[in-house]
Amino acid sequence: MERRNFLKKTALGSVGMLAAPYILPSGRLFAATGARKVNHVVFCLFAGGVRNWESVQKAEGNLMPNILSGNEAITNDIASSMSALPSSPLSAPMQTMGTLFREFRFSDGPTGHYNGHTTAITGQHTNTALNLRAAPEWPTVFELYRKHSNPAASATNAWWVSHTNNLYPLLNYSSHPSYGPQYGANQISPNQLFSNSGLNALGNSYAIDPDVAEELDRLRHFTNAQFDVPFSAAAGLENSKEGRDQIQAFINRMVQEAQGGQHNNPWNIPSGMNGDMRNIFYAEQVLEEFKPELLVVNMFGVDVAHTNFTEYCNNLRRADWAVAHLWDTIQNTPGLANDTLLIVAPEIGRNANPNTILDANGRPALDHTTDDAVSREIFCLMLGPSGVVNTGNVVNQVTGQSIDIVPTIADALGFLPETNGILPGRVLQEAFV
Amino acid sequence: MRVLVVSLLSIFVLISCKEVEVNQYEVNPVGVTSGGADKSQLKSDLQLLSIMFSDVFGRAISQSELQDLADTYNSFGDKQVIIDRLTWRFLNDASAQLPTDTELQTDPAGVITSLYERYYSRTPGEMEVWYYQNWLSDNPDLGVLHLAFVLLTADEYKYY
Repeated sequence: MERRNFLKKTALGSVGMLAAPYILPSGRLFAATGARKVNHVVFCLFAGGVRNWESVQKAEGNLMPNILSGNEAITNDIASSMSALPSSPLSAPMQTMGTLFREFRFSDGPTGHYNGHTTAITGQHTNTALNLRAAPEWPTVFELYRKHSNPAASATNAWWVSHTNNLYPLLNYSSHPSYGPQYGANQISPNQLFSNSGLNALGNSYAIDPDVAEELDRLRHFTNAQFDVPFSAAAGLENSKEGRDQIQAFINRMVQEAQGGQHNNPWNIPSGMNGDMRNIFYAEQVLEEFKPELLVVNMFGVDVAHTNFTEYCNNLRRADWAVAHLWDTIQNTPGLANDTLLIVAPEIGRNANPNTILDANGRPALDHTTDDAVSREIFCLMLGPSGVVNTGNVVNQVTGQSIDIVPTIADALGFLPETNGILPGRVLQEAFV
Repeated sequence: MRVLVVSLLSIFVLISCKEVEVNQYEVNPVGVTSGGADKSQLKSDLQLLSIMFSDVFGRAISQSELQDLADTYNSFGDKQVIIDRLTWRFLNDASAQLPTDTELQTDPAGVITSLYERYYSRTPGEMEVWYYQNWLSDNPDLGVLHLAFVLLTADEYKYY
């Protein structure tokens, strides 16, 4: 009898020892197979600081005709300074295809770009000091997605397409001890990477025959084995070998196309493409190549408002057109079409009161430094497949805040149950059917 | 029963306490390289780029060249991806200073040693030289470019 008990306890203990490494922080044995609403999410930080007065409240007319319904005339002086844009890539304004939260909020924290970005990408309020070269303290949406998705998601499934490499390149993973680079997103700053100096640095082609590459890997493996400290411990994000091969091939293609002039103005914008448009263009390239399940892309052109109000309005129109192009591309890319949730939201607003700098039209410029109520007023637009996202839905009352975007993404991709206790925000249910 | 257990334990204790004979063997002094063991500090991004440039081109990098490289380096998150690309571009530049493949064929151990000394600031161990030579024998179509690429993109090069 004692022997039987001994064997029973031994067997139970062995099972426990085998299972323990797979028990998640939540106490579940396996990651949740939460029902997904969609298989892809694209989050566009319509960033740089956009005031609701000029966007959804149309104080200068409808500067965002691709997103917003309405034909309100643009103020004369602003209209005369606008760059020409092609006709809309879409057949109808985007708000008719989804849900618009007109009175969204960046409710807490300094109204700076870093805090706005970090809050939107981590789903946490942040009051930390401005440090652009530091990873965020809380896990990013990329890490939450990669750690808690089941099956585990590869790094090529998560992308952070950053407008510049000076601001925010480190938002692809956090310094949180339970997350970090092993769950991070691929970060790319294409405006710099594929600029003339970047192309010169990258060279014509990184083309190594697969058999040669295998032999080089073998020799490098031996060489690394002679050294005690693996670079991977300090290298940040790592892709699988297959992922790196695909990325190198993608960069090769981008380099060749850029050198061939194909990226000079692929959208045929009469006045040329600005940085926001180019960043969205490259985000589209990433989407088409990798079909990632999660991609975050930002824009920044409207921040010219610090010194030039008219150009702020002009760049708002350009950003609006670029977002429409992004949605059109998503809906025309097999694998993404009708299976992607697009979320568009500025990271912060701008001050109610202008500064003293006047532009050519005599318009005073706008900062976003006072943390006043207007600088916390933003909007949020959500589009997705019919049957998933409410279409033609406008939420006019104050509803939702930027910390709600991460839980909404988690819900859409089915890993929200595993984030319990981490995220203070809520799912933006008003947008879903 | 208790007496038997105590007796057995006593025997085990006595046996285990028996003095162990210590044999000492002497060997002739052997010069042992320290390998990469004394390198523990990760080079900063700028250090890595500027040192690699100097190692490959035999001259100091200019400030503008370094800025361009750093901008590119910071534009992609997976550092091994970007290091591989930049290294490959450096080594395929016509002005890269590398031993010739003819020199490699004539004196493989000498060329391997010189690359180790230039890039790793140490001489390779016998095992390393043997492995590299063996690898070259297995891959007669590969040459100095490939050896240099592996050494410059391996972990040890990123530390000092």
